[in-house]
Amino acid sequence: MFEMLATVLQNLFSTPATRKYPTERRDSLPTFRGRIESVIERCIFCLKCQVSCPANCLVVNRKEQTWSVDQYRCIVCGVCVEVCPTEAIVMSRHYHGPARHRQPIVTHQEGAIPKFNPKAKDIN
Amino acid sequence: MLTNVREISKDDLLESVQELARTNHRLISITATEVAEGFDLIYHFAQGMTLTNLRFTIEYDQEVPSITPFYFCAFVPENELKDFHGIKITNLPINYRQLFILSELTPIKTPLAPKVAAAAGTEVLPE
Amino acid sequence: MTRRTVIPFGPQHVVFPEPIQFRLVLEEERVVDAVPALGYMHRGIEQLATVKDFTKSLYLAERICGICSVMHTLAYAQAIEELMGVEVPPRAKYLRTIWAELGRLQSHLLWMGLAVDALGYESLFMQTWRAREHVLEMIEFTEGSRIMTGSITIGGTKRDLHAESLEFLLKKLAQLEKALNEIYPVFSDDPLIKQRTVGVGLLSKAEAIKLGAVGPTARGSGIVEDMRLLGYAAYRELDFQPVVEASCDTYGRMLVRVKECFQSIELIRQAIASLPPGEVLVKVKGRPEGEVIMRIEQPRGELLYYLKASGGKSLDRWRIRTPTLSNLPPLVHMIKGARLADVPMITLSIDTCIACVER
Repeated sequence: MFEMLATVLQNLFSTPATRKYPTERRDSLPTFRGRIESVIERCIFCLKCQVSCPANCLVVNRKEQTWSVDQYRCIVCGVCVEVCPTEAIVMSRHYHGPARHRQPIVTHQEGAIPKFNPKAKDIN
Repeated sequence: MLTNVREISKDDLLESVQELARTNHRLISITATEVAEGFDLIYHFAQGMTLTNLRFTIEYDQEVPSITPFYFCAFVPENELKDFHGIKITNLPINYRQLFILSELTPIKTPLAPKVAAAAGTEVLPE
Repeated sequence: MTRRTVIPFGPQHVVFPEPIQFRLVLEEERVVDAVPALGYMHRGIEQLATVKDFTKSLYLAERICGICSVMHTLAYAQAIEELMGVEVPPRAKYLRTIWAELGRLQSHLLWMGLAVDALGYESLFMQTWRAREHVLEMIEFTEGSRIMTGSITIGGTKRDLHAESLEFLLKKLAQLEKALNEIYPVFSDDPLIKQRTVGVGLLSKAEAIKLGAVGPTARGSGIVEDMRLLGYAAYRELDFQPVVEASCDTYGRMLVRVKECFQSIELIRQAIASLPPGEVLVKVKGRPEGEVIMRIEQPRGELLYYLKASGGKSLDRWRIRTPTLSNLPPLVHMIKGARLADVPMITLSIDTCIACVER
């Protein structure tokens, strides 16, 4: 019984091994691949990212000057970030989180992102 | 590139496999590729670190004898060949009848051999 | 005449990480026959490869399996590089080796936790997975993501390791080794684990060769075979011997995996100590042509890739033969004659990864 006492006291007075999620969160590491974001001022609409995406999640429209990504189809591989000639796509380290409806995020040249429409139907 | 490939004919298959079984080779797998006139079959064996490959071609409707008398574990790749390519294999002791990996509800049979599927009248996958 | 009953083992069971079904034919308490029924995880990857570009199929290769995903990417990249005649810089080879060994560590630690959980040791399961968290943090810091990492590409690697990352790796390896040394005596000496695993699931050496066993399943029966001795990536310059046990039962296979964890830590330290300087990526242009066979050592055994291309945008044929597919006939042989209560432990001992089997 006294052999166990050492282990019991050590476990009682040492710091816990787990974190109290969701009140305490760990910040993601700086090299983490979370999601891709567009810096639309630098985009020249050459469509290289759309052609090289393995998951077919980017839609770029040269006439209307929009760039859109379906975040729930994106596999965060980073090929579009490498291929873009003007560095108009950046990899952010924050994960985009869950959502109820699947809508692509469309970015216009003016920089405004359209507001989320709760009545929009689920796109599949 | 492929090393150590032996081209044999379909009738020599059982004798060559018996020779390899006697010298304690291990069966790795069987690969089939669709070519213009039929299928190109490669049997991969290994002893220690070296590979030995047996290769031959068959036509679409020809039958291939099973090598399970010498290697019982061959029933796994041979059932896969029947599922994916529709190759006819005779003398299989454990015969899943094309339900090894695909199921009855799949509308597409022989997904890796579109010409066989078209000949059998089942749905063919779009390009 | 004893009656025979048929019991379905699977597709959902506590010991399986992925679904597979075995129909067990029982006579009283002993299993007389076992018939595997696959098909729960088929996704048609070999067919997709004939339609997609060969550069995009790299990301498809990563997603064949979640536990052994680094090795599939490595094998695919090496096969395409051999088809196109590309020489990878030496620093990239060492980085690929480090990441492959980290992948092997996390796979073995996952298996060890599941194995003792199947026997009832739940807090040992938690402690093993806590040690696995050190490995996942190392992978996340150096590659960007915990599981599907995307850092190996055709022509080298996408990321480099700087001095700060190497220091982090060495610090974490020391913590990991300390945690492993605390739990190792339980795996090797605990009387209850020994009673459930010694003498259970026997596979003799001759049968293992005849039935085509690979990986720790074969090395637990005394066969000295490890594909890392072929010398791909940087293994030619590292110094190691395959871990072999001669007891031919579940206990031997378990010890092979536990000792391979320590061997992986040594290999990573050796690779970090002799990392050559230089660039990590070469530009690759053109299209592949020809045929190639590539074999590497996954955590579960020997992986075989056969690629055939003829100058088009996509491959003509991509044949994947994963180790668990080869280990299924020995498993069916081992289950026959065992008692019903031993069947989950025997099935776990070959480390089934069904996502790999039914790509």
